[in-house]
Amino acid sequence: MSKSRFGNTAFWTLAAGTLLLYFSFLVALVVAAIARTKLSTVQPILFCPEIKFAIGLSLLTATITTVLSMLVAVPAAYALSQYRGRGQSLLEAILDLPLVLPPVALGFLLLVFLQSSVGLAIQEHFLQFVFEVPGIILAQFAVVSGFALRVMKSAFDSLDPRYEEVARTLGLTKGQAFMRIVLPLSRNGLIASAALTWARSVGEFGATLIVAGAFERKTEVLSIAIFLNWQLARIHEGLTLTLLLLCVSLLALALFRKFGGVLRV
Amino acid sequence: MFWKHLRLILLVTTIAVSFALAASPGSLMVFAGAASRPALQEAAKAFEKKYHARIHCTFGGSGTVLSQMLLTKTGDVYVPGSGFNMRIAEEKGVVKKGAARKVAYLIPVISVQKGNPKKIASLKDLAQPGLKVAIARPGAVCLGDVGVTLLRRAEVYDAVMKNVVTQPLDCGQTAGVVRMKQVDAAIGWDVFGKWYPKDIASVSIPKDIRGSAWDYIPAAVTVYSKRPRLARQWIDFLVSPEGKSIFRKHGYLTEVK
Repeated sequence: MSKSRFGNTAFWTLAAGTLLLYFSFLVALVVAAIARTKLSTVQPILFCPEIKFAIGLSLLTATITTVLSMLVAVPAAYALSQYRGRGQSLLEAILDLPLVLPPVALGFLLLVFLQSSVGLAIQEHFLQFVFEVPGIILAQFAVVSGFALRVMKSAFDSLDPRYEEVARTLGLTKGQAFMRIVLPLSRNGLIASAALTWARSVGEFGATLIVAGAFERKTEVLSIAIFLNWQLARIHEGLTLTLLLLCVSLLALALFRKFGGVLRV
Repeated sequence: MFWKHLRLILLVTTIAVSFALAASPGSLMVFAGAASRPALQEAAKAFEKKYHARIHCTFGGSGTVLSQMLLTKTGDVYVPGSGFNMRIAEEKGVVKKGAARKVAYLIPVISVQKGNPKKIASLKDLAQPGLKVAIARPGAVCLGDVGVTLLRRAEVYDAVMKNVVTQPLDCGQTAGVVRMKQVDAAIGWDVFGKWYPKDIASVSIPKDIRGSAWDYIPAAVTVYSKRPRLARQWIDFLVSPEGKSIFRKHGYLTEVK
C-alpha cells in the first residue's frame, strides 16, 4: 500500500469513526430513556386529562404559530433574498437575533414590552396575551419565526433568478411572477420551513412559561408538563412525555429531510 | 537530574494536591431550593471559616434539585423550600423519614403591589371583581396548597378562584409575577416583602384563619451522603443560634408564635 493511500484510509476511518461515535451518543440518549420507561405506565400517563389537554394545546398552538410564521417569513425572506444594498449584513444580523437569544431572554423581552404602556394598551383594546393562549402563540412566534425566515431565505437564494426574469419578460407582473414561478419552485423549501418551525414550536418552553404561565388546563403545554414532572421528581411521567416529544420532533424532522434535502441552511 | 526537573515535579505536586483537596473528606454537596439562597450562602461561608470544610451549594427549584439528586444519586444535604418537598424526598427514599430539622419558618401573607393600590385588607378582598390574583399551582408548590387551604377556611375559595389568572410553578415565580405587576395580589410568603421591599408589600392574614397553615425550610442528610458526620454538623450549625441569626438577618422567621 502506498503512503498516500494509507493516509487516505486513515483519514476516512477517522472521519467515519467520529460520525459513528456522535451518532451512538444520540442513540445512547434515546436508548437510556426507553430503558428507564415502564411500558405499563405509558398509557395512563398519556391519557390522563391534564396531559391530553397539554398535548392538544401544544399541537394547536404550534400549528397556528407555524401558519403565522410562514405568512411573515415568505414575503420577508423574499425581500431579504432580493435585497443587495447598504446595511444588508446588519439587517441580517438583527433578524438572526431570535435564533441565538435564549428563549427565556426573548420571553423576558416580550413580557417587559407587554407590561409597558404601549403593550398594556394593545392588550386592553386588541388582545390579551399575558397568561392567555394568545400569549403562548406570541411566545412561540417570537422564538421560531427567525428559523422560518432563515430556511425560506435559503430556499429563495437557491433559485435560479433567470426563471423569474423570463416570466417578467413574458409580461407577468412582479407579484404574478412570485405567485406562479417563485413560490411553486420553492415548494420544498416551504414545506421544510413549516415542518422545522412546527417542531420547534411544539418544543418551546422558556418564552412560553414567562409570557403565558402554566395554568393547568388553560396554558399548560407539553413542554411545561415535562418541566412540572421534573419539578415534582416524577421521573417516569417526565420521561414518557419526553419520549412523546421526541417522536413528534423526529416525524417533523423526517418531513424536513424529505422535502428540504437540497437546502443549505 | 533532580534539580533539572524540580519545576515539573512542583507543578505535578501542586495539581495533585489541589485535586486531593477538592475531593477531600472536608467538602459537602448541598442541594437547596432557591428560596433560601441568600441565607444559605452566608451560612456556608460562616461554616467554612469555622470548621475548615468546603460547602458546595446547588440552587434551583426544590423539586428540580431533588430530581437531580435522584437521577445522579449524589448530594449530602437537601434543603428544600418547604416541608412538602421534604415529604416527597422521604417518599422517594432520598432522606430517611423523620430525619429533617426545621431551619426557618415561612408565614403566608397576601403579597400586593407596594403601597397596596387596590386596598386589599383581607382574603375576602381578593374576590373583588376585575382583580388579578396569582396562586401557585396546588399539588406542585407548597404555597399553592397553603393558598387553597386559606381560601377554603375564609370561605372565599370559589369567588377568588374566578380572579386567579396564573398558577406559578414555584415560590420565586410567585414573587416574580407580583414584581412584574402581572397580578394585583398573590398568596405569598412574608419573606417576599423583605426580599423586594421596593415592589412588594405584605398584608397579613389573621391568626384564626392562618392557624397551622405555615411552612418551614427543612434540612436533612441524604442517604447518598459519603460524609454523614460532617453533613449532620452542617445542619447542627444551621439550627444553632449563629445559623438562625443569619436566617433572621435575611428576613426569615426562626420561631413561630
